[in-house]
Amino acid sequence: MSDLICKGTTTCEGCGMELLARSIVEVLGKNTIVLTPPSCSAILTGFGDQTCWRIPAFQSNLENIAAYCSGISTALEYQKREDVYVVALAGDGGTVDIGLQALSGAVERGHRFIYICYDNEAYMNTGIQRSGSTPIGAWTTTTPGGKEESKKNIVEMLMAQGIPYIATASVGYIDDFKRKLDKAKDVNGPTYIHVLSPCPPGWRYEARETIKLGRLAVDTKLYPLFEAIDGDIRITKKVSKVKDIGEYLKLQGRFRNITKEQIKSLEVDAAKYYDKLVEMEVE
Amino acid sequence: MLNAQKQLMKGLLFMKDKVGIFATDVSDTKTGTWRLAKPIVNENCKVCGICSKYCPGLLIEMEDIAAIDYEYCKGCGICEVVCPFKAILMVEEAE
Ligand SMILES: Cc1ncc(C[n+]2csc(CCOP(=O)(O)OP(=O)(O)O)c2C)c(N)n1
Ligand code: SF4
Ligand SMILES: [Mg+2]
Repeated sequence: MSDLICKGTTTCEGCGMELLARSIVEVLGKNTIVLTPPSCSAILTGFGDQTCWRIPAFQSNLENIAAYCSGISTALEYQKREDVYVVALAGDGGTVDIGLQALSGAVERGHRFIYICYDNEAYMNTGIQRSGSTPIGAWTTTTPGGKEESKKNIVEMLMAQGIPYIATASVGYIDDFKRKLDKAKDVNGPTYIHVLSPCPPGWRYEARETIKLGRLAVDTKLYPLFEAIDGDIRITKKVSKVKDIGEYLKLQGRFRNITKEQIKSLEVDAAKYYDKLVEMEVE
Repeated sequence: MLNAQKQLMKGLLFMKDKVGIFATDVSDTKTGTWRLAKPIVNENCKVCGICSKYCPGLLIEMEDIAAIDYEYCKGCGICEVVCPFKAILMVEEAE
């Protein structure tokens, strides 16, 4: 067990992000500088004079975590410290919305850093507001009737920029995530992993279901797991027997008022995207 | 060193007096007090380690059977759900 994060953290019970954070330090080890933006991951970086990390950690602003990664990575380059990893652990709001231009710029400049977005599909830390990553039909405090738009596909955006390593993962399949991070850490350039991270209070489900939901999202094709090395796509978890999307939705209070049409559109888009990935996959 | 680098170092040295080290203490919140239900390990445990891999706090060690750190366990119940052998059952905490 890795003790690079303290035992008692004040994330909610059943938090997917906490498991992810612990898995990250397990793979990267102590020669790591971690950055968090304002978000639930900032709970780990500190309050007052206390921190949960036993490695150097830096608290950025919500707009610019990737810019800070760039600076730290460049300083390490000057010091010839290739043995130190720079890793960002940012929420979906701070990634697909507010931090997007900093991330895009850092990827374009080609700095060596690992960017991990834990996607809990809304601005949770400030009380469940919709983000670009919230799926269609989901209740949030700013979409009381359910979100009408579809989820933004940040992975495709970054792939269009030619990022050398990118992957999707889910806390439901944590070994798959660890394997991907293990690959990302050795890339001499920007890398990105987008991790679905179920959130009990935000998604309105019982804390015990976090892992089950993380798996169902993948097994229903809603959230395909793949990686792309220099643009070459490989699906890392083939879905042969698709599970019913209804099974995933009904566990979550946030989908209580989702319409039949919205479920249909989720289903159709998921199947279409999965087929597209299969088509693009390299043998 | 490049001139720009020298300037940067100068800037950083200047900052040293202005910016303190912030969080120096490692946090230690006894989150076991949050718990409403307690995971109890029974004799079905095969010490496979799956619960330990998925506990968000990584609070389960593999000993003779799974050993849970109740000082910090928040009682989320994930271990009960992921265990393939029904070896962990959540029991309501007494008053
Ligand atoms: C520019 C800016 N806008 C708003 C905020 C307030 N704020 C702090 S945390 C947060 C939520 C971030 O959401 P996300 O990145 O999805 O992380 P999560 O809270 O879900 O973990 C917001 C909006 C801020 N700190 N900076
Ligand atoms: S609100 Fe969600 S993401 Fe934030 S600490 Fe709680 S469970 Fe984790
Ligand atoms: Mg979020």
